[in-house]
Amino acid sequence: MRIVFLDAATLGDTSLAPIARLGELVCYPNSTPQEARERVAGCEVLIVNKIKVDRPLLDAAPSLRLVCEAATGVNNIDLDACAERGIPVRNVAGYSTDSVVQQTFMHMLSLLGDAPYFDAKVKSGEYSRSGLFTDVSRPFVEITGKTLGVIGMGTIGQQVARIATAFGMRVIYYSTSGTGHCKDYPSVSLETLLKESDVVSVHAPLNARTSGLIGARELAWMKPSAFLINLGRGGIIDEADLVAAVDAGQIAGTATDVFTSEPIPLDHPFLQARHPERFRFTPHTAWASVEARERLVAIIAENIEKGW
Amino acid sequence: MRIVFLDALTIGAGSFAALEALGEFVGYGDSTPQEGLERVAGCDVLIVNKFKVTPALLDAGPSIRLVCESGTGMNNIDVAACEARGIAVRNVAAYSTATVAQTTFMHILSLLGNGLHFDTAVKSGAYSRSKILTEVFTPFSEAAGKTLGIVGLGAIGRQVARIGRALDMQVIYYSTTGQHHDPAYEEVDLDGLLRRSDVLTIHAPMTDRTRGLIGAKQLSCMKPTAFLVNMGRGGIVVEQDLVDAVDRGTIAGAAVDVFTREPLPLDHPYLHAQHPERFRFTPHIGWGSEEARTRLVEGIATNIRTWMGC
Repeated sequence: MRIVFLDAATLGDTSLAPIARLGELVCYPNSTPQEARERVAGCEVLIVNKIKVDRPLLDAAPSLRLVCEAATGVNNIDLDACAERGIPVRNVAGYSTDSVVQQTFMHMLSLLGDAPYFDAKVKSGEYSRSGLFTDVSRPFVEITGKTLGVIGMGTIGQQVARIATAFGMRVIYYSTSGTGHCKDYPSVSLETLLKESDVVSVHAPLNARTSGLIGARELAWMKPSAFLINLGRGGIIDEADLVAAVDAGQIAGTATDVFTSEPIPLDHPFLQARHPERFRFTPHTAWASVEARERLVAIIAENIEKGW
Repeated sequence: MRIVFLDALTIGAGSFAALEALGEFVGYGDSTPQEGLERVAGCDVLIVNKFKVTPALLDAGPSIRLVCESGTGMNNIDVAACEARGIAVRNVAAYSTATVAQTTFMHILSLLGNGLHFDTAVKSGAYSRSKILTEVFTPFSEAAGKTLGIVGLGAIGRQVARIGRALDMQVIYYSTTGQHHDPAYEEVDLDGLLRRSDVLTIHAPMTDRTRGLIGAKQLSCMKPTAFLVNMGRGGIVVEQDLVDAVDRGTIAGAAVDVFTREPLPLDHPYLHAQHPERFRFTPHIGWGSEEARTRLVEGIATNIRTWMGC
């Protein structure tokens, strides 16, 4: 059985041994559309992360029996075309929840506690020269008693809410699907959420309801002391509007793991902010703890073992 | 009533309105020992944070009837000398528990999640030039399922334990006094704590039992993947030994809020580590959110009012 992984670089140096055990595994770090069509010849199991699986690619792979998405979202796969050809498509869900939730709080606590500012104070020697045992130059914000607004109360959103409660936060949420199925916390309108929250955390998928959900008008509803965190998808927040709001002090700061275009272009507004110290970034890595990547590979292997 | 605060800068630029309401309040940012002697003349209520209250200072302030520590620890106050003169001493406790627990997890998650590295990867443009949608070449590890070892299960240690459990960490603890027990978590000896912890966090006071508790020998018992966080007191960890252990990879990294000498001397080993990226520091601000500082001032005011009998 020939297994081809067209964009394996997205998994870094994670061991693919559990998959290699199942057949002849051929990995390419990345593939252009042209390369992809050449590489799927003779392939029975195709693994992709972001590579587009469209009709031309399927036509180039007459022996293809199974498509494995090495992630949750299958936007890159033409599901109808696969179904017509009787090719099952299997994705991987839930493997990254703990990792994303953890990175959400890493960002939140760094913003509230001004971590890079204080770290630099010590490492630069400024603290040593201050003559004072502590540093009172910039007050930071206590998490306890503050309001967390969660946008998108799915598995990740609920886990974020649970940990926020342990920190003594009050949690409210806005359901982007409109179902408001979670009864543990009050479901509110987007406007109420943005007006009341001290921290807004986005954990929604990108779809017609969430695309451009938060722009200049919505940012203006937020408190000047509030922080906005996006670990959902780029495109939910208007990036230029966000930079303008943070630079102008309309909100206090922001953390972002996901971008409309990835990697972000060098001329992106995020990289031209006048106050970079009010921003925290991770390069779409929130999902990718060592443990999450290992789980991902293990589940892809299980998906292949199920056969077709 | 004259209220004198000799080192008010330690609380910062916050409002002292709660104290001003009680009498004639005079706040000095900082005082040398000599200035202290001059400034307590005519003082009824003395407020200090780190300033040493010695018999000599009390002699210079014969009208002092109450000494308020603007913190929890009273190592700086000669309590016996105060008692001998009939002077009451009051401290403020628990005003900072939530903030210290918060700063603890700020450090833990930054160490586990490699926060500084990834932020720099984006801001420097390295991510943009990488041509890959996700930066997967620097691994980071999950808190969930890892073991959190707590030294000192007082009010702060317990709050840290509670949040650690919410993050699905396995919580174990070592009580430095042998007095704090909580059946909700597994109690272990120091050796067990060092060997099993993926994150070891210190929330103990400075006592004869904790001074130099963790040095080269203890650090060598820890996992090479483990992180050490010290939010308790500087001297609990031998600082040179910690720098050596982190630089050599004996442990993976460390975060420190408290130092043997504060502020940290410029020639301190912490400032000369070969791998500063493995360290996180805060300048003894783990206690000092704006909210905690407000509670502290209110706590001092309450102590004065209670002492006054109103």
